[in-house]
Amino acid sequence: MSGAELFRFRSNHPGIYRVIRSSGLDHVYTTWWFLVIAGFFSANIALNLSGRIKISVKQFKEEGIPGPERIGRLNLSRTFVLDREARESVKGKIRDIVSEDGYRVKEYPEGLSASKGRWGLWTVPLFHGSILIILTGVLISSLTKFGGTFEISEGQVFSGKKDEFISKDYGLLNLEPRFDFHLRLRKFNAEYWDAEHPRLYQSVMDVYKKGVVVLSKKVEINEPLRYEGLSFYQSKYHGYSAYFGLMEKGGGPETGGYVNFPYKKRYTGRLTQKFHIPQTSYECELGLDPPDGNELDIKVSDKGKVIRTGRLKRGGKIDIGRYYLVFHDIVKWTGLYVKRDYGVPVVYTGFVLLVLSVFMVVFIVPKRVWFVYDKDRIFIGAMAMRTSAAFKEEFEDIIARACPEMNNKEGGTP
Amino acid sequence: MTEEIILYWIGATLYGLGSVFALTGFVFKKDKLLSIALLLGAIGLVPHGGAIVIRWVRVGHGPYINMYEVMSSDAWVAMFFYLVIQRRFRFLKNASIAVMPVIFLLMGFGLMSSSRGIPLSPSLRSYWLILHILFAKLCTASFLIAFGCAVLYIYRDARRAETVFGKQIPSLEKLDVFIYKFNALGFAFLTIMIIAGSIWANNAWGRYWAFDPVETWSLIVWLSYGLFLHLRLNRNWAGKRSAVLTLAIFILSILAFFFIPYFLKTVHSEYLVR
Repeated sequence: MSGAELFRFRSNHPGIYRVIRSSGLDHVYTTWWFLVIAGFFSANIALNLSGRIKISVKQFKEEGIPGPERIGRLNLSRTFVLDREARESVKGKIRDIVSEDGYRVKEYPEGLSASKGRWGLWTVPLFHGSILIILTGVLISSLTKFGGTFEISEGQVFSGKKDEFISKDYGLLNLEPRFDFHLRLRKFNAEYWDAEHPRLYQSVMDVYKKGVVVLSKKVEINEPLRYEGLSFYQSKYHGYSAYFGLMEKGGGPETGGYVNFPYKKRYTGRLTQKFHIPQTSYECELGLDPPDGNELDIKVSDKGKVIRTGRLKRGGKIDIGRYYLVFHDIVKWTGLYVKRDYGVPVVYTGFVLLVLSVFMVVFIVPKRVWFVYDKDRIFIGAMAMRTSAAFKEEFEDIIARACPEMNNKEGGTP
Repeated sequence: MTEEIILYWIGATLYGLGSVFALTGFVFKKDKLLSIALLLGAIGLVPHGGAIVIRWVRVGHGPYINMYEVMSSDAWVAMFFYLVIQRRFRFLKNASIAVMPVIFLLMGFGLMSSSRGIPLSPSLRSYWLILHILFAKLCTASFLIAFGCAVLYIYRDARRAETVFGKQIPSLEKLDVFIYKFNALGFAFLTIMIIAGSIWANNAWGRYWAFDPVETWSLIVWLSYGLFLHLRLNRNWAGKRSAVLTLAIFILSILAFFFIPYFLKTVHSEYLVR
């Protein structure tokens, strides 16, 4: 909903608007109750995670061979009857085949255990852990973030003072950022594909610290300026700005200031702007014809009565009582968004782990195969996490290769 | 422009014919017709790919800005992905009865959208955006194959006794595994798509998540596929339940990705609904 729509809604339905405001439904994701729900969700994942880690550790460390009874309970299990000689030959063959297939083989007096993709046992804890890390990052953002928009004209300096911002938004802790530096917009470049489509918006910024340029950067959309924990994004595009000086008659010091004309998607037709001249009671109305206008139409009034009108060129001035209003230049202004968000690195760490875990789900399947020799029988059991049915073919293939002579000697389930 | 449209139409026609052959082959149980369908799909990739390249050169950017470009490239990637996968797993040939008509519909949907070339705006010049789009296409293709397997599963499950055509359709067990595998692969691609989009948004506008309608709906789709995987792995939801759930989530994902931008104001509408 746009600001104007919200304002209309507020006028038409003041009661409903009060309910919406008091419950935070107009900013759900930064309300305390949303954070509480997210907190419960995170706690749930955390509890689940601790349980999953225990299971994974147990499975990862699991050694030894299950008994014939447990093998019989597995979805994939077979039993064969073999004489002593055949059994000895099969034993060696089994070891070679599972090793060839990339299994990690461990031999025991009672049989053999082969495992593959053991790291896949960590997939679920890693997946849940990464979501927890992302949610932690989101929580940090919600509590500590700061964002603010400001407009800056070519040649103008921004130092992060309160009155330089057009709007600000905070996390729940309302933490103010520290600006130990100044920014200066050296130049703003705008290029277009055609009358309708922009190609480039670029602010050439200089960062000053203790009066010295410590960093210069071309800030574009997708190319923010990052300095001392703050990021500056190209957010608004550009407008025109008139740079004035106010000079006391008789040679007093000159104070300067910018008057921004409103932003338009396409600059056709006349731009106008009104402003109050500081230290006086005068109002001033300006008229400019962009994009090539070099002259300003100016009308100064005092309490509604026009006292001066004129057309000023660069460097021209107009007499307004105690002062001269000097028109220096027409420059471009642009809008930037400054943000500090300690949650981002945490969220990104979660992203990396999440990607890793989802690919582990697909490509690393923990599999185990056991061969247990008992007198005249051989018990073969196998299990695979997540895709037991898909593992069936591989299991059958291992058996077919390892024990072709046993095909007709099945001994039933143990 | 004319050559591009002609080639697009040739591609769409071949896919359409392929769909007809696939359905006819399936209904009349003629394996040869299914093979012709796949051949038509493969031939269709050439003029369709030509149309995409011509447009790429003409507008100066990849096929991912407006709905026409998105649909066209999604259809091409899905067809290519499907043909490659079915070369490896031949039984997936039968999934053409579901996959090819959906691809044909994507082409038709693209034709209904404006094909006007829009130059690349500054916010869209990002490597993260390319990753975002590439993985969007891969996840669509992967989910589409899972959808095809689910359709086959339900068909086969309803005709357990029928054996004449049974040889052509893989066993229920095998289909079930492929439904899981392609949904899991699609889930991995979807995850990367969302993450790449999130990093791109953070670089462009200074926020990694804004609960934009398409973002929110992508999250809903992600959670739905996550639910599918959880139910499968923890509650042993396999077989018919898994197939039906796959159909439902696939339809939800199509609505979320391709229809939501038309109905709700979103940062994606800026490009897609033009």
